[in-house]
Amino acid sequence: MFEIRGRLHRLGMTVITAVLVIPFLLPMYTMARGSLQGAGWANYRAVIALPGFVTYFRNSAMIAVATICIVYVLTMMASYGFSKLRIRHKEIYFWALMGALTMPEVVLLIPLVSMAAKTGAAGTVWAVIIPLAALQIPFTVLLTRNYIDGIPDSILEAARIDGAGTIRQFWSIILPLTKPMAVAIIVLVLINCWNAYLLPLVLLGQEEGLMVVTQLPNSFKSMYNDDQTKILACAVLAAIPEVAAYVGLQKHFERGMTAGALK
Amino acid sequence: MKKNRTVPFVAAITVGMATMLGCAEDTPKDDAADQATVVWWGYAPDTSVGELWAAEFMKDHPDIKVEYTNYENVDYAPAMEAAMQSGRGPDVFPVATGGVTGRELLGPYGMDLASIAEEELGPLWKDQFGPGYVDQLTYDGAIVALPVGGVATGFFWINKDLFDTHGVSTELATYDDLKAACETFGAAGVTCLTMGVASLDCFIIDLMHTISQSYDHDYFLEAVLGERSFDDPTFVAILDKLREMLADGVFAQNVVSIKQYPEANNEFLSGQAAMVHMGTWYAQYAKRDGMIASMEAAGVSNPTPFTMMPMASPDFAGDGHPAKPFGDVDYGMAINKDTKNLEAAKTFVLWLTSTKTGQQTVVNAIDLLPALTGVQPEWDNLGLVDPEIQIPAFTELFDEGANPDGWRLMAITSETNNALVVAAQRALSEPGASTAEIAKQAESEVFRTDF
Amino acid sequence: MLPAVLFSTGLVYACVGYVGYVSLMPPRWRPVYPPAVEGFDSYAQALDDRLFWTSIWHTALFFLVSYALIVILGIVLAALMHSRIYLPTIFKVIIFVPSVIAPAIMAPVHRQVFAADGPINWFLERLGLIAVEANGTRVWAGWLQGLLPKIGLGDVTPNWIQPTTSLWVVVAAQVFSSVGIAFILFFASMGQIDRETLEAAKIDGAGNIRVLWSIIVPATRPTIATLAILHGITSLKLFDYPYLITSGGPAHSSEFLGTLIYNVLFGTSSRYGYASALSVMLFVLALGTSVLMSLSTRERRPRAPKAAGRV
Repeated sequence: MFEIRGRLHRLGMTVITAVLVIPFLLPMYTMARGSLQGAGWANYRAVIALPGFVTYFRNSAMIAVATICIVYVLTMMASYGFSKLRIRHKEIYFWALMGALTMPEVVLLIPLVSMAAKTGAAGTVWAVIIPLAALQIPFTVLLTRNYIDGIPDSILEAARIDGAGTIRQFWSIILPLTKPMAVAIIVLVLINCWNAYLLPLVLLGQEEGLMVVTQLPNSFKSMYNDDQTKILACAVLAAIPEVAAYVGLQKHFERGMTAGALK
Repeated sequence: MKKNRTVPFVAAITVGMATMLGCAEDTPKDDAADQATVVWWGYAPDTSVGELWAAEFMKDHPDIKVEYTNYENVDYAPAMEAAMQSGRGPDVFPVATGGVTGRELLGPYGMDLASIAEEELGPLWKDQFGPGYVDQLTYDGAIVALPVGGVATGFFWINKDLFDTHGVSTELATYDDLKAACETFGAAGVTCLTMGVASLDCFIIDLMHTISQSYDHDYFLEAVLGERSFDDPTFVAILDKLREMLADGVFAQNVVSIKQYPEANNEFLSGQAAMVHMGTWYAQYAKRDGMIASMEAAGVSNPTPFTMMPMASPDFAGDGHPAKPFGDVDYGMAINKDTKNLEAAKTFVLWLTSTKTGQQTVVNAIDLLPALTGVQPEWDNLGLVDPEIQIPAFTELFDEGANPDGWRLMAITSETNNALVVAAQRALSEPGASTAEIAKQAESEVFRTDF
Repeated sequence: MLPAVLFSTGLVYACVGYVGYVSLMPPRWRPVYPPAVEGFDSYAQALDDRLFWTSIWHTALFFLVSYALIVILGIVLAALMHSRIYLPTIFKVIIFVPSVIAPAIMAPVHRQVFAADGPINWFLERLGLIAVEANGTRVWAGWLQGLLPKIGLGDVTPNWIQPTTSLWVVVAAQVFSSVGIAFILFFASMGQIDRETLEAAKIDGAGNIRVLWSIIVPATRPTIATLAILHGITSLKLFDYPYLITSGGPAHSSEFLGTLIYNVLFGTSSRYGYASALSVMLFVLALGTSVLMSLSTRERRPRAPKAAGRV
């Protein structure tokens, strides 16, 4: 974008960028430094030695995987329908779905608690998976519909002439062509599931075996005394899998977002 | 036609998911059929203390297993609400007398324990407990919890080592003495009285109550009960005093920015502050181990424990009437109305609240005043930092706490709690608002009920 | 398509229906009590509630400022990453990683960053903008003490979580974790800008600032519009950061609808009826705002809103 002439200019621009990203590094630095105060590395050892340490991660991973599967399947079908099929009142359905995008989690608490109680989902991971999925589908549909809009109708037309039905077209054209979108969906849904705090807190509680990773710091918050250093160590450990997933998928994620955003 | 496709799809996913979750549920289910399990949730005590109590109980009752889960104070109410509505609440849970973990919120979920207590402990059972403790746990005519322990505040805790180092007297009789002490500490870079009012905790209410007792002994409780108003010159005077304390450097500038827990607490325990206004529960940090752990938690490497001492409140009004410790029952243990383990739950609650062994275990944590009269902490075996001077002072404090000068939170609803904390926050951070206006606003927000 | 629509909207609208039903009960109704539909008391109470209006005002302020910052930072950073600077991948990761980390995890960190003795003030002290007194009190440097009251900032002290500034602490935290997605979107959309147009502009002698303003910004307008909708919704839904960093305070100075509802539900005596009425109003507001915003962007663009951001 910006024109850069010569090495010095290039260095100058890099320095400007570096200054601009300092605010992003400051909290990271504070977090890492705080986690090593007091007992030092023993803070990390104490976190890892927590009974059920692995459970926190396993539950979050389970919730994320299940949510991703549900969101992926439903998003693909819905986006295909919205984009390529002729369905009566399609736009009304679409806006009804977009309306769901605006639903704040706080508002959902009261009814979710009572619904979970009535359906028997309370106290199981489904009490969290289902609302989490429902809340993310509108956004992923928005993205994916845009993406599928960009697939030329002529490709589908050609397939139809060859005798492929709607399902066949979905299976052998839409799904393979939306692979970059799949990565974007995985990353976005993963972030939101991994970071969910309020829904798991209220719907799962912290009973044995049902804690999620955002509750890890709570193990070091007690009635009288918050162990600030270990809370930060928890923060660092809880963030690692996500950061690793993002860094690993970065290239594909960017491609998916680019594709969903514009054509 | 799309639906045709959907069915196998969703079915496949569901089966896959079920398999995965199935594998995950490998938690051992080896409980023998004859062992009852009592599920206990609480905002108090801390996990380690709760597990210790449970272990002591299981020594006496090997046929009953107690599982304790601790919630943070602010998460306790939402978790309980959700769990109770869906019928998966704990068998036993603590209920405080007032505030956000109080009987107003949790009372409806507890069963009436009056007949159980009478049957087990005899007709005069109420007298076995601390002053008024049982009555402070009634909701809608029922006794919803049995007292676990009491609490008293209305005094300060000081870091005696800091007082000695800077040559400050440990007896501050008047507000001017307090102010002078703070000047000395301030000049040395030590926070004088650490206090945090950023969250809606009740601690600033305790301090306002302490100040109030000095101005007009009965005013505060009368205002809480509605016999007098918070839109009253005495309350305005209390708010003015808070402002004066900030201006005089008694409070640090960040008083409205930090929370009592963790920040103010950490500041005191890490030796950066000379005083803190907390109650009898703070005695637990005078134990050598407890203090070392807390200091490390506050970020101090290789901590050296200091000597913590209670100090009577200075006379804020300057008319010769400093506050005396006031308090009430801290919390009681309730039994879920819908429990399926009534017998086991009953055994645990009665053991904790009304047996010598149970109460001894409770009070040895020196977090609570004994609920059962006649039990005292085993001071000599607690590993205090400086037993020689701490034991006499603590014994006296616990005696005073057993005969409190008025209630602490007993009549304070959560709305009153919030209205009073916001009034303090405003007084300390909105120089443009008059204290009279703040007091008026507070009065309009309080909520009084007689449970 | 139907399963997704039914699944998502079914759950959400069932919830809205239930909340609507509860909102007609007395303000202090709780699920432990028997149902008793009473009427619109809770709505009347809400319209009369100072805190309700304060929260809406905070939401508006929060949206305007954080949106502007996110767009500006997103565009500038994306343009820089598209230029030939050193180590672009490292910078990209640094910018995006904050959006990956949970607010619940970051909140205690932000509390320390903005503490009176935290890193922000450490920086300001090194820059000579604030001074530290013997007892640890942070005050503005002499010249600022004279200047600030003149520009109407007399009540601002270098102690950030307090009524005059707590809202801005929340803004900073949210910007910190939202720029990443905005950046990715802008980065993506700039990838589509025709290289030749840029070259032509440069040959015509346009400087970097000029190129940014007259080519890059117009080209990314659809993304700017989409972000407005998404960030508008985020602002109305805001809960995590204000709840976890400031608890909506001190003295309600950073109260938002989300924190207000939560407090009414769990902080003060469980007023389900009242909380439900507030929830219905919040939902209507959010829906209304997003419909209005999409309509205004649709005029310029024929199809449903393009593109994205995290929600």
